Amino acid sequence: MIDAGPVGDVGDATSAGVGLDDTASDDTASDDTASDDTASAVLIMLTDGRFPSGGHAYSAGMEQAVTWGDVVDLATAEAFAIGRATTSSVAAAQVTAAAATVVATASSDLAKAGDLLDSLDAEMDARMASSPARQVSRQQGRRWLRAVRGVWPEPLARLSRTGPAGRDMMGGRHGWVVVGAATALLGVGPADAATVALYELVGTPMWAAVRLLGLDPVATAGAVARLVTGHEPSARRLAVTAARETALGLSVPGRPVDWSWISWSTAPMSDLAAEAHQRREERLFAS
Amino acid sequence: MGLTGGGPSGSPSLEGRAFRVGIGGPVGSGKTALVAALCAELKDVVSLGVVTNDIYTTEDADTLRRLGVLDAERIKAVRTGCCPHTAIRDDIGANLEAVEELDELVGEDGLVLVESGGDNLTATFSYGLIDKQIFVLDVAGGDKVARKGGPGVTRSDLLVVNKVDLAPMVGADVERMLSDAVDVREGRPVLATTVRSGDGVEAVAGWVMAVRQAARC
Repeated sequence: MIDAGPVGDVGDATSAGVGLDDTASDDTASDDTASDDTASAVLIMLTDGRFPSGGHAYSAGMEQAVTWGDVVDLATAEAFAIGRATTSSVAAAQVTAAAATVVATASSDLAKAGDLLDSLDAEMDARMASSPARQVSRQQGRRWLRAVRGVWPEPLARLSRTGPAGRDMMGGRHGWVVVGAATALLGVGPADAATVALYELVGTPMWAAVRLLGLDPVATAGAVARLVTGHEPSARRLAVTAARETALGLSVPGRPVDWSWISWSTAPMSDLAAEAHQRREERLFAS
Repeated sequence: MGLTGGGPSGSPSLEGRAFRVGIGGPVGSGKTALVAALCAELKDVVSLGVVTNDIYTTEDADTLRRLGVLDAERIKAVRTGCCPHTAIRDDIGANLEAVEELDELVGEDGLVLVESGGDNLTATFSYGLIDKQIFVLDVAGGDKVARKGGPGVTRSDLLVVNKVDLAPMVGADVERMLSDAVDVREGRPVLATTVRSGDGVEAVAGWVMAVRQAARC
């Protein structure tokens, strides 16, 4: 994930590999070991391919790229994943971190948290030109929500139908808004939430390529490891900035939170692929 | 209410939703034909819905719509990302979404049939998704298949051995196949059918209604 776009100061925001949790919890690190352990276990579960959040049915555009002949082997699959990680995925990771910050910061004011998640949702819409892509993103949100609510009913209940007039504060939202909000309720910080997003954004198309092209799974895992490890420092820096900007916006009473810092970098071919994929009669994946 | 569903203890309650029957089995064994035949047999008896898990296209859903056995909005297709068994067993969210949408149309006294994509002998449904499951074999797949076992053959709630009319043409011993199936299934029921001509369909429909009735009281 590149440090490009509207977030211009990420390079010196913090050193590589140092995330929000590391910098923000310096004074509490010594007596906070137990909760850190819990968050690690949650992270492992959320990113386990066996976690039943529906991920196996998505290819994140890989199926269409293979059909078009743009991806034919491991090298082109990796190039495809890099393309996504450096464009549309930047906003996805930022929105994940922002949603996590909103829930962590404003959870005592549920109406406000709900309004902010609404506005983050709208920001995702504005960055997804393809209607099928938006639909898939909300479908993924529903499937994530079903899984995390089933697995961790109590922490998730804090944002379940508890809003004004019994409103479901998490229902119907884009996948990354759900991931950010849910992980925050599970004690995961924004930087770790963005890293979960990074892994999913890179892993989804790469694991789909294994099935579509018969790639060597170990070699593919090697490529995923390279991509995730290589992009993690910048994902964490993006998350730090996202969390700071979100918290800053939240600190000004009565003023709408400014989301203009969220990256506008998109991938037109991904949008075209989503449109073409939706129109196909024969397709294996839901995206 | 005693609405415990059909699966092992801990399975979802039947309260407020339709009864769900999974139909699995190898490619070409006659799952879609059985679903269509059951719909024709039961549509005047119970409110019905169907979910298909097609591996590659929405062909099964389209076939059912074309046959006109149900209104189009009562048939939903789920995409399984190359893994039909994952979508019915390990990660059932997409299918749950589909059956819950159908619940609203079908009503809590209704019946939803969930057809898996064609898969192998180990592919069974999670009881988090369905209440009872039928596994469909056909004699043309070889009469040793029942003896080989596998969770679909041994553990399903009903085993259907289909296309028994083809046995002479493919050199299959139906009696042997049925007795092997009875042996490996430890008392679970086995029915022989030729769905194409309708033979045995009434018995399968009767089993479905009986297990639904038993679960609801």
